[in-house]
Amino acid sequence: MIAPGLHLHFGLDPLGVLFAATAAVLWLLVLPPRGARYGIFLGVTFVFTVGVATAGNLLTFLVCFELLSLSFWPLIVHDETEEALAAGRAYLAYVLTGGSLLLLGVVATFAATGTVDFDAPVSPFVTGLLLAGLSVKAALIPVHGWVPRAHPVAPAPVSALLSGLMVATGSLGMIRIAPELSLAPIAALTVVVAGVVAIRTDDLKRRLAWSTISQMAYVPLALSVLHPEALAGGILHITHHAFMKGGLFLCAGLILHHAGIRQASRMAGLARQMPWTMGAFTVLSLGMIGIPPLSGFVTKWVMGSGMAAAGAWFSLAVLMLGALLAALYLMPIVHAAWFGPRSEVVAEDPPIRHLVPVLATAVLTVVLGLLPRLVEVARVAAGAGG
Amino acid sequence: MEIGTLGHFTFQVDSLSLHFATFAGLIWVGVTLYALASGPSRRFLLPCAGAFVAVMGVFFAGDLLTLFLFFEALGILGFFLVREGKEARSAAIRYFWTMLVGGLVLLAGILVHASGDDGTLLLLLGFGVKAGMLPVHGWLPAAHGKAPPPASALLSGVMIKTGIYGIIRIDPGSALLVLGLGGALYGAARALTQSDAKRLLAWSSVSQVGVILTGVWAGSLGHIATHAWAKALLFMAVGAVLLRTGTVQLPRLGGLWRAMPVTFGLAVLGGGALAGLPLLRASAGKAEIHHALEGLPELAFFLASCGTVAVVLRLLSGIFLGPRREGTEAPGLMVTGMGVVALPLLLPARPEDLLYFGLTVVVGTALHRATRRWHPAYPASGEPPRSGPLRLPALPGPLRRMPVSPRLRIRFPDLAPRVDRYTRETGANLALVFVILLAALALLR
Repeated sequence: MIAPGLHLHFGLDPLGVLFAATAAVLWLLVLPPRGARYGIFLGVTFVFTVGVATAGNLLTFLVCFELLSLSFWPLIVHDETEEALAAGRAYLAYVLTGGSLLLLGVVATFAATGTVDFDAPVSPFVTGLLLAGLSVKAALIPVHGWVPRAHPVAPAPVSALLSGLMVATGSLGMIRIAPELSLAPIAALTVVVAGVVAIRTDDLKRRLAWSTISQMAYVPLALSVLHPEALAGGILHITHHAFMKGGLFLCAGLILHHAGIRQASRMAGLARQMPWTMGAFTVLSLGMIGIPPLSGFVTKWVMGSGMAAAGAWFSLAVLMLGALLAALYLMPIVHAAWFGPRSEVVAEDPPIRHLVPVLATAVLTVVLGLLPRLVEVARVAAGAGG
Repeated sequence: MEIGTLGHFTFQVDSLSLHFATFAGLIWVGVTLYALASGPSRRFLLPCAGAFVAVMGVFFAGDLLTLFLFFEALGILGFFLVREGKEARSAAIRYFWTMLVGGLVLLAGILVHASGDDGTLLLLLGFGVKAGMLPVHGWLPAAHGKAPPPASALLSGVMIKTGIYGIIRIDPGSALLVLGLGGALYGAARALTQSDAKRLLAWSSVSQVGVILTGVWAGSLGHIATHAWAKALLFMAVGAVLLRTGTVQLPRLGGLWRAMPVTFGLAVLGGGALAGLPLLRASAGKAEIHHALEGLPELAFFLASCGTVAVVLRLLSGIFLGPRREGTEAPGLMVTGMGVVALPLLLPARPEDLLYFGLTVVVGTALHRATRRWHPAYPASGEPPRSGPLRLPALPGPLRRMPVSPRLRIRFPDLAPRVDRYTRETGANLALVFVILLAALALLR
């Protein structure tokens, strides 16, 4: 305890457990590390992610949140190129600003109510501060700018973690606070605009980064519907998206490393030379679009049921539009890879030990779609921790 | 139909499922035999087998979630079936996107329905896309017209019936009458302007789907199986002609009745069943529908039936009649396949409806001869003509330019000319569709 009313509090609730378990699996897929510094910060970021997941009040959340942001920086700039360092600076600017807003919000909460509980009753202005701080991490427009800059320069496994769960910590905070302010307009705008930009982006990692912005905006959208089923879908989406997007980024890394290709437009005919990699890419893409019986469909269904039950037709339409946009920025790559003209690029499938994590995410996408046991967990999490 | 729960696939069998599955199964047997005549090809047989599983999954689905799963699978497999045709790559891509958007609309409809609200419009549009119902029929002529003939037989014969199956399950009400009759008339009219036999059959499918949906509204399902068998048979016959003569352009064909007598006979059987030839039991489906209508819908249905007769005559006379030509009969396996599908059509009819159908045959023949000019002869350049003079004057310039941003055009360079052609041709015809629908609605009130 730091002062009367100010104490760090960790707890286990269904939402936190689901988040932490997802992190555990995702971090496992991202091993092995590329050196001592990398390995250390991989571990540190994991610890703070679990901390964020199990945080029991605003103060604990803030502390772990900020430390998480900072400890990701060395991973993002790992390659130490000019571009990477510049992106790292932009990243720090964004997350530190967001963190300051969040700090202000927490301080204001304490000043107003004398506690730092998640559900402390505060004025909309204070809630707005907290949300603004969280939005930077959650990559809502207009504070999304760090995402398309950080992802392309980071090593692919780091991008997998960033897209998978780092962005989600912002959404997690929003769920914890459970605001009455509706984020639907901003979230809807983010889904659509980020999706459209993704279609027009050629750099593969940057395209996937914009896809993350679009997809993760589903969570605040679902949250704003104020229906437990929609919220359950949003929570589940964090998990399923983490695996799918993580897998896609790992694929991108393998493609870069074993075929030397950064751009989507150069991936024509690649599937004939790297069938396993592109096969996993295809499965993951279909999952992102939400084709049954993959995991992406499960989240779409649960979110959609909640939105329909609550009569949120606009959100439902945005959900469908988001799926269409995902198809528009993923399917052309898949189609060109399998059916495109043979390219002059020489490439071959990576050795098994590099393929295993990617294949594991593809398998998870299928299994979680066919056996949606996690839906119940998400429903419990929505009921209790939301 | 109930919604179902995630992760649990349920199946059920009732008389409707069995009816659909039976004729679908028969057609699959016939088409597979037919396709094997050109040698076993994994490119066709794999998606063919997959589509069979998907179709059976749709018909035997016990809840909407299971149905949706197999429905989407069918959309993807159809892509693989269509793209093997000559110059069918872009038609296949268009098919894929149409099915994807249709699937999203359908999913939205299922979600709305699950929450207790009225999702009928969304469900109708979602299923209607797959069925080739007006006004979401636009993908059909390109996809079925360009796909290889055995694939078209499966697509037009069975796969669009999955959409119809869904529509029957959701029971949409009187919208079906308008959309059905409108589609029946419009499809027949467009079919009469075609010089490509496969495209003609594809537009005929649009028309027949309209007839079927009118039947669904009237409570009669008899024409569904008839159309499935007849259309599959006709596509297979055209495919045999394509194999032996190398073309499906009607202006270039003719006089093959002597050279390919068996194919000719089977095509007459198929076309006759479609047109409602009085001697066949299969025509009873259409008779039932006719009996259930009265007033303006009955007149519209009569006109559509005449249109069907005209279309069948156009096709058969274009390919088989006329001055004698050289050629060889289709390979034995193809004939066997067609024979399998033709078997159910051979049952003799009941005498009740001779007068009605006799009348349609007379008027239809007159219609065929009167609209001969609609389907132009070959221009000097040798290029096959596109759809004939049922092209209204093009939309004025500003309306013609699709709201596609210049940047998007740069991104997808082959999109621009396609968009222009699409708006020029289709835009005007869409206006015609709209007028028909409005007129039908206004007159039916």
